[in-house]
Formats: sequence, C-alpha cells, structure tokens
Amino acid sequence: MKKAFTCLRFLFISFTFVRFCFPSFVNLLDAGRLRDASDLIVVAQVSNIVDGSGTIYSDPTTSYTGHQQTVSITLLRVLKGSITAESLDVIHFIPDAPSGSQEVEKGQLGIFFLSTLTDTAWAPADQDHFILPARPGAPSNAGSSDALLAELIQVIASTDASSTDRALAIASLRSISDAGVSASLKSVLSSSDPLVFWSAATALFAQADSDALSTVQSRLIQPFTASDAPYTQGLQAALRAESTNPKSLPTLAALLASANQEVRRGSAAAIATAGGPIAVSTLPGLLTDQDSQIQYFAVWGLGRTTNQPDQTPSYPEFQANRDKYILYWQSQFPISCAADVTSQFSVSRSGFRLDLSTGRFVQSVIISGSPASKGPFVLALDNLNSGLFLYRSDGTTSCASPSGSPYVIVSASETWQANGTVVLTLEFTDPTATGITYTPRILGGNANR
Amino acid sequence: MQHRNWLYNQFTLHQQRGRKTVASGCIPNEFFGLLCRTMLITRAMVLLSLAALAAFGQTGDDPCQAYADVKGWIFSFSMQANGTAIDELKTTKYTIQHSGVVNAPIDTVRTESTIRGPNGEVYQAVFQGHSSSHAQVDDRTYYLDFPPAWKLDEVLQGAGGNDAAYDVNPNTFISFQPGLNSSCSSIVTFPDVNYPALYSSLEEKGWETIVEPFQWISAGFFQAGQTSILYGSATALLDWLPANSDPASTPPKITRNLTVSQTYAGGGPIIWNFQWTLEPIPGCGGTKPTITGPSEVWWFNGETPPNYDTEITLQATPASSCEHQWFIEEGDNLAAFSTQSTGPQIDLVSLGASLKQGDVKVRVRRNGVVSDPFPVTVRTPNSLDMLAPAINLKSEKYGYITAINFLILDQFKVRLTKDIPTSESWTSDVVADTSSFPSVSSSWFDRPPEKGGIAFGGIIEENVSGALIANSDPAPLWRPLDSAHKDKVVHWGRMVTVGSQTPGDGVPVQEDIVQLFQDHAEILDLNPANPK
Repeated sequence: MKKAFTCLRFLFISFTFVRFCFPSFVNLLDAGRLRDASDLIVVAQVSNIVDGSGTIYSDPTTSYTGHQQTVSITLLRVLKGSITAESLDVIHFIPDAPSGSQEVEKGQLGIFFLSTLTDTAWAPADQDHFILPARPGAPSNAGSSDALLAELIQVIASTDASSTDRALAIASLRSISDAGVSASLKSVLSSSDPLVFWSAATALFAQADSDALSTVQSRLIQPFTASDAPYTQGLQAALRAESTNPKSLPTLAALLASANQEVRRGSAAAIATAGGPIAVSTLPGLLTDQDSQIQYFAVWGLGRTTNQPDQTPSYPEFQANRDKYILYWQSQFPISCAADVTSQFSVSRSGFRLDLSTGRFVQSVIISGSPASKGPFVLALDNLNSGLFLYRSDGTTSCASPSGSPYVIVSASETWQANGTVVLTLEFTDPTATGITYTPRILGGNANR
Repeated sequence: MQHRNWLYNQFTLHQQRGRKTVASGCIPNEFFGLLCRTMLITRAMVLLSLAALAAFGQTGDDPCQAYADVKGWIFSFSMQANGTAIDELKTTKYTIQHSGVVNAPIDTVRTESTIRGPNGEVYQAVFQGHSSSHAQVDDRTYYLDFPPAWKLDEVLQGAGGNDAAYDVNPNTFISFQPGLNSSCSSIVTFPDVNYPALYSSLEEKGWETIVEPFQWISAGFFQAGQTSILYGSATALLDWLPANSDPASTPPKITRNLTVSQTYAGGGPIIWNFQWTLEPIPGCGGTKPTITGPSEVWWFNGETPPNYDTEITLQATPASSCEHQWFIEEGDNLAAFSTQSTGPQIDLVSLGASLKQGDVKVRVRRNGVVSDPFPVTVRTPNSLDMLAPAINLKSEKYGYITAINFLILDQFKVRLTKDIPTSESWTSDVVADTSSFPSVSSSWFDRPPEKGGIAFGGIIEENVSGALIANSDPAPLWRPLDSAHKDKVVHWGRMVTVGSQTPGDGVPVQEDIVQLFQDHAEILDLNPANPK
C-alpha cells in the first residue's frame, strides 16, 4: 500500500487531479517514502516544457494562483514500475507565490517519481520532491542491490555532480539503513566540500554510526571554520542519536571538550539520554557550564539516571528554577577539581617553528620532576591568546580555575616515573600569526579538570 | 489496677449520660457492635459478654461512628474537597479549601465527617489514633491517624443536621496524610503502651453527647504499635494488622474465631486476652493493587493528532471485581479522568504539560488497600531544533530555494519521532529590509499562504524561496551557503504550532522570523538566548 502524502489532490479547472500542497512546509525528502508513493520511477531527461495559462486552484480553505506545466521526459532507465513508451508527459503545477515548490528545467536529468494521473499522463508522486539528481550512465559499481539506492549512491560518489545534488542525494537517504548507503556516506567523509562532508557526517550520526563519529572527532573538537559554520547548526540533533550506540559514548565524552557549542550540546544530550555510568561520571562536571542547555542536559540526565523524577524538570521548569536544580545536583555529586601541582615540576619550552606541511606552529615542552602528588597529570595552557587553538587537545578545563584552558595529557598513569622526563610536542593553529603566548599549568589527579 | 480503674471511670461516665438509643449507634461489626450493645447493661455484663463475643457474629446496619478529640491539636492534612472543622459549640472555625495542606487552628476542638456508604447508608468516621502530631487532653496524649483517601460519592450529611459541613464535589477525595485507608474505616495505632486509645460508637450524632464510649481499649490489651483497621464499607470487618505494618501494603483480612478471656490477678490489672485468626476478605481479594499502563500521555492544547495518545488507559492489577476508587493524588491540573469508573480500568486524559517527570500521580483504592502512586508524565511539543545541514538550491523561477529541516522537541528536549501535523502562521506583515536595498519590488512581498502539513517522523521540512526573478528588484540569485552574502531583502514573523494542520491550532513551539536574503533564506530565532 502506498503511503499517502500530506497534500490532498486538488481539482484542476480542467477536472484532472494532481497532488499539490503549498510549501513552505513540504513533505520530508525521503527516498524510501518516495519509492512507496510512486507507481513509476524512472531516470529520465526533460525534453520539453510547455507552460499552460494561469489558473486558480482551490482547497477547502484557500485559493491559489499558478500555472500548469506539461513536462515531457525521455526515459533512460526504469527503476520501478513498467512502461513500454520511450517518453511520457508529466503534468506539473507551479504556484505563482514563492512557495519552494520543486521546479524542472529543459535538459535536466534526474530520477522522476511519478503516479498515474490519466491513461496517458503522469503526475508527480510528491509535488515537493518529484525529481532527485541522477548521473547519465547507469551505476557501474552499484553499491547496492536496490536500483534506486544504487542511482543515488552513484550521485554521492560522483565528484562531477554539484555539491547540492550530492547533498540532496545524501539527504534523501538519511533514514535508509543500508550497508551500501553507509559505505557511500563514509567514503565522502574525506570530502573537502563542506556541504557534502557535513551532510554525510550528520546522516551517519543520525544512524548512530560510531565509526563515523571517531573518524571526524578531531574536526568536531576544533573550532569550525567559516565555511563549516553554515552547515553545522543541526549537529546537536544528529549527535544525540549516537546515544543509542554504546561504542559512541567514549567519543561523545571526549567531545564535551569541543570548542563548538553545537557539538558540546549534542554530546551532552546524547550522554544524558544514554544514562548509565558515563552520565554519572561526566554530567556533574557540566552543571557549571556556561551554556544553559548543557546545564539542563546535565540536570535532566542525572535525574533520569538516578531515577529522581522530582529533580528531573522540563526545560521551561529548569529555566525558571535553574539555581534550585543546579544546587541540588551539585549536592548529590560534589565535584572535586584536579589540583594545581605545577610547583612540583619544571617546565621548559622551546621556541616555535612553522610546519609548512600542516600550516601549524610546533613547540616542544619538556616536563620533569619528582612529584609527591598522584597522577594522571595534564598540562593546561592558561591564557592562550584568543584566536589561537591547540591542535589535538585532550580537553578544556571547566572545574580547575581558570576554566576554558586547553590541556594535553602528560602522563595517564597515577604513578610518575621517578625523576622521569616527558617531552610533549604541541601544535598550534595560528591563523593570524601574531605570536603565541600562554602560561603552563600542570594538574594532577583523577578529579575534574 | 490502673486499667481497671480507668475502665470503671469510663463506664461511670457512660451511665451518667444515659443509655438512650445506644443500639443504633453501635459499630456494625461482629466485635464492636456487640460490645456496644452489651455495655448498655452494666459493667459486669459487658465483661461477661466480651467473653462470649465470638459466638454471636451479629452484623448491624447502623452508621459506623467514632470521633477525634483534637483539642489544642495542630494537625495538617491535604484534602481535595471542602470541609469544615467545628468547635464544641458547632461554630465553624475554619473551612478547608480544596487541595493543599491545611493546618487546623490550635483552638480546633473536633473534626467530624459523615460518609454515606454505597447504598446510601450513613457512615460516620472520626478517628483517634496516631499521627505525626499529638494532643494533650486532660492527662492523656492522643494520637491521630487520618485515613488518607475517602471517596465521597455524595454530599455528606452532617451528624445532627449541620455539624459536618462538607461541601464535596462528587468524584473528589479527601486525602489525609500520612496513612492509607478506605471509606468508613479507620486506622488506630497504639503508639505508646502508656496511653490508651479509644474506640467510640455514638448513639447520637450531636457533639453534646459524643463522649459516650462504649469501650475503652487500653494499650495493655495490645502490643505497642499495633494497628487495627475497623470495619469496611460494605460489611462489618474487624481487622488487625501486625505491629509496624504498612496498611498500604498489608491487605485487610477478616477476623475469625475471635475469643476473649480475661485474667485477673488479685491487686493487678485485668488482662484481656484476644485470640483470632485472619482470613482474606472473600470476593475482592486482599492484595495491594498495582497500576499498570502507559507512563506518558501527550497534550496538544486540545488537539488530538494521530500517533500521539492524549488519553491513556490505566489498569489495576491483579484483576478484581471489587469497587475501585481511582483518584489523582497530584497533578489534577495536568490530567483528569475522562470517565468515572469503579472498575479496574480508568481513562486518563491530558489537560496540560508536565513540569517534571511523572508529576501526575494516580492511585487506586480497592477493598481498603491503596496502590502506590503511578506516575504519569504529560509530554507536549515545546521547541524546534534545526537538523543539519540546510541546502540552498538553485531555482530558475525564484533564484533560490533554501531547504531547512527542524526536529520537534518536547519540553524535556526529547524529539518527537512519529508523524505529526504542524502548521505555520504569520505574526507580522512582510517588512522590507532597506539597509541593503533602498527599494524592494512588490514581488518580494508575495509570500505563501499560512498552511499546515505533516511532519513525517517528527521532522519539519520547509523550502523557502526567493521572489519571482522576472519581476523582482533586487533580482534573487543563488550562492552556496558557505559563500552566501547577508544582503537582507524582506522578513516576516512566524509562529509554528504542532498538533494540527490548521494554522494557529495546537501548541506553539517556535516564534521566529523568516528572513529572505538576496541569495538564500534563513529562519532566525526571536530569542537569541535559545538559539536553534
């Protein structure tokens, strides 16, 4: 049985029916839904478009003006259904108002999703998404036994395709669980095209793919570039889906130290949703976070994990009584901060050199001593110039004041090798090349940093 | 000796106040009903008849009555009906308004209630026993334990006309805390072996004659801390629960084979010996009911969209043919029973959104035993969260179409995952942004009509177009989002609601601004502190 789309069939003045609805709210782009809703799916090329005269269409509450288009397409491949003709006409309605309705142009190649209109004419199965991108040739390396998926995978893999076509293909496959699709999405995680990269990454996150999360961990921790920024707003929602995969939890915990708010929110939400030991070990440290939503996820997650519904507020309730909930959970999970044990070590730093292959500045730091305190030990870089970033940091201080200092692990064990010396190589991203300054601080112990 | 003298004094009092119509005031159960009748005669006859109690087993049909003497007693309880506490002169001292914990004034002397049974018979139950506070009356300390939940199916009749002035809305409950009990029954706890507790059945309902105890039972007869539950609602029952037991978790049982004997050692007190066996109450089962069912219900501001239950059915288990008395202990502003039922199932409909997890608490009482509270959370859509990334598509007709996705989140920031109707409505006219373009052609003001749709899987997808290229100044154009400019052209206010496809109906989840730039569109949040 075909799944019905939200939009009703509207009566044309010519007494023919098409599916039509006015955006801007449109049907969800989903290849699976489109396939179910279609009688015929073909890869075809638009050979001609004939605009009809202006007309009015009505539903029970509203009238719309627009034009009927007859789109003639030449069939290249049939992916669903049966048809012997080499071409066909699609009756398409274009509203006058800027509605976000999908358009086609002459010569356009794509996958058309069609439903029967009359004995001789077809209509879009979904007015909002009746064509998806395709490539001229049939998929040579299918990547999937499903013909439709294979066509879309081919688009994703094609570097000749536009980034929006590739992103549309990815978006249409977001909810498809298929090994070939997953492999295709992972293959473009190395793409330099930010739209393609983030489309693939968020689609994989939404499917709780822990491998993808690990692969892009570093990019998620580092500050987003200007070209990344337009595509990363929805990371929070995508990352939260990783909560269902236990393998993703350590990576999510590490992402709490990200320089990007969306990533930190998504990681906090995921860990709060997952609950369990990792929630108890990480969420108390977020109670003092400067971001209200992250604080909320800490409260909510601790309430759920410890089964204290009275202390598990909704977000509006939390906003109205923030201090009450924060204080309560701080009393339940008192936080001790790692001690400043810098005085027990000697720290010597080299100068900086520019690694031309990476574009990052490199510095060696030698740490030695015979500390009385227990490890592990980390080196925090306090007061690092704004606009500079420590590459591959292991976290950021949030408990041991000052907060916000990036740190790297010096020694992961509790025991410091007697009279031992550790040499660290630090790398800095310095887009402004204005000089790098910071104050070293060594923190000891397993407490929150 | 002390006990004997005390008993004697009480009987003397009884004799002084006469013996009129005592029989009609006796507790309708096997034990106290007979005790009551017996005591009308003489102390000696009482003592003799006590020994023969087990042989009678007669059941009366009179109201069960007792009273609480709360002189100088500060007590608190929460109730979900209006009630009145009165003083000895029948002057109303205060009125208990609806719900909430109420502290009775320190000069409150007595409280009284009368409860009608299922067949219209009047039961009256006032209690004296244990509570967290206590009162000193004369040389004795009294403790009170109120039953927590009397279902008041009908307006209560005050004893003697207007002594009790409960103004009770049918289907509401008086809830006393702590403790649990059923209608027309009481819990009496003997908290201290040094102080006796009192059971009283009154021949008259007026206060002026209330102190006519037919029997004082000193703590010496029972173990300290022992609790009894007196008489059920339909049949006369006498149930004894083990010391320190929780009435809520210990089912009432019928007392069988009661035998009474006495021991009197010269110079010492009379020792009464009670022996009995307990059996489950037939027909209704005696186990504590457990509520099962969905722990979540949805609220969409009166809308009832598919896939999201705005009404759920709760079930009391194990199955029983007993009368079930359902009540909402907390959160009756968030949910209500859509139908009244005395059966094992009840339908709960949402009225508003939860502020905390499980802040609607439902209980059911059956055969005098009350379930644990069953927590229900009323979820509601509350906000939107963008689902990355937006895609800016080229359009031959409108320059661009920006495709944006939103997830719908509830008030706990958990996403809705099933199909749900949504709509958008405009909260302002289209406004030109003249900072970039001093003049904007009318085509940019041509926006789509307000409309609804289905958010498949809880995901809203919207396409926002530029203006008709052919007629527009400035002409819309397309750039990828990572190189898009920020040249604003027009904007308008919007409200997104969830739960209905009719614009404006349902729950508002986001008020935002639709911003059209020359080369792309964005949805801007009105509240920067809560960025999407």
